[in-house]
Amino acid sequence: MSETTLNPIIHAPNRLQICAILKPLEEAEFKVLREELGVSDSVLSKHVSQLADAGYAKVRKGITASRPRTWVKLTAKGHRAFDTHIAALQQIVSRAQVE
Amino acid sequence: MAHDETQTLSTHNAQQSLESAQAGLQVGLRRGTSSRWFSAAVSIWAGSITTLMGFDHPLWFLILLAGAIALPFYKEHKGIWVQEVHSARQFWLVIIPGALAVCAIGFSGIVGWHIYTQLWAPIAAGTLITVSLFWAMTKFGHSESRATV
Repeated sequence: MSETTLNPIIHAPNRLQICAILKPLEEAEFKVLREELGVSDSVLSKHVSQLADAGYAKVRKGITASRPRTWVKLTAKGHRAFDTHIAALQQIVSRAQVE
Repeated sequence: MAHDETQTLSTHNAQQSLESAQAGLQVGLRRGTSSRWFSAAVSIWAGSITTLMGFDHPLWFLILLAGAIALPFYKEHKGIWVQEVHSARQFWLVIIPGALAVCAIGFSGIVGWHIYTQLWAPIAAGTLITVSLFWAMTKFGHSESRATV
């Protein structure tokens, strides 16, 4: 049995990308994530909500130059979950290389 | 927990996921990397404050305030903000000694002018901080060596 397990919430391609982009950042604006993922607002919003519901992401709303902005950041729990998921992926790959 | 496809992931798919995560990490760092203009502006801001404080000129406070106000606007405009401190180890081995070094340089400038009336002392202190900070920000800031999963 592997020491680390894959996280089904983070594993989805778009959510994995969101977590990876946010990993080195303090926070990123919704627009930036949308541009980098190449998805619509509604799709991104759905994925961010799923991460937020799991406690992996935090959403902050603000206003800049009279325009509403939404900022997203990974929580400490999200950082740990992402790291664990990556470790599990690396375990799968390294185990195959040993065989 | 119900069985899901993640628990039977193939090596190929795991490798693809890792590569995707790596690419995402690179995106975060690339978008968050500060331009040289920003590094220069921050360095000059810090250096000018040091020099003006050395001369006990009140303008240092206005410059400090201007930077403190401009920074959030810059962040909002950029849409991204890189996590500057990644670990407690980095905080204690890099940030704290760096901050102490800056304070020491600034203090030496103050002492050089106020006690030894050496005009060059605050100017040298400010210049040293400007150059050092610019070098550190452009060389070590958000390097790709940190972009690994």
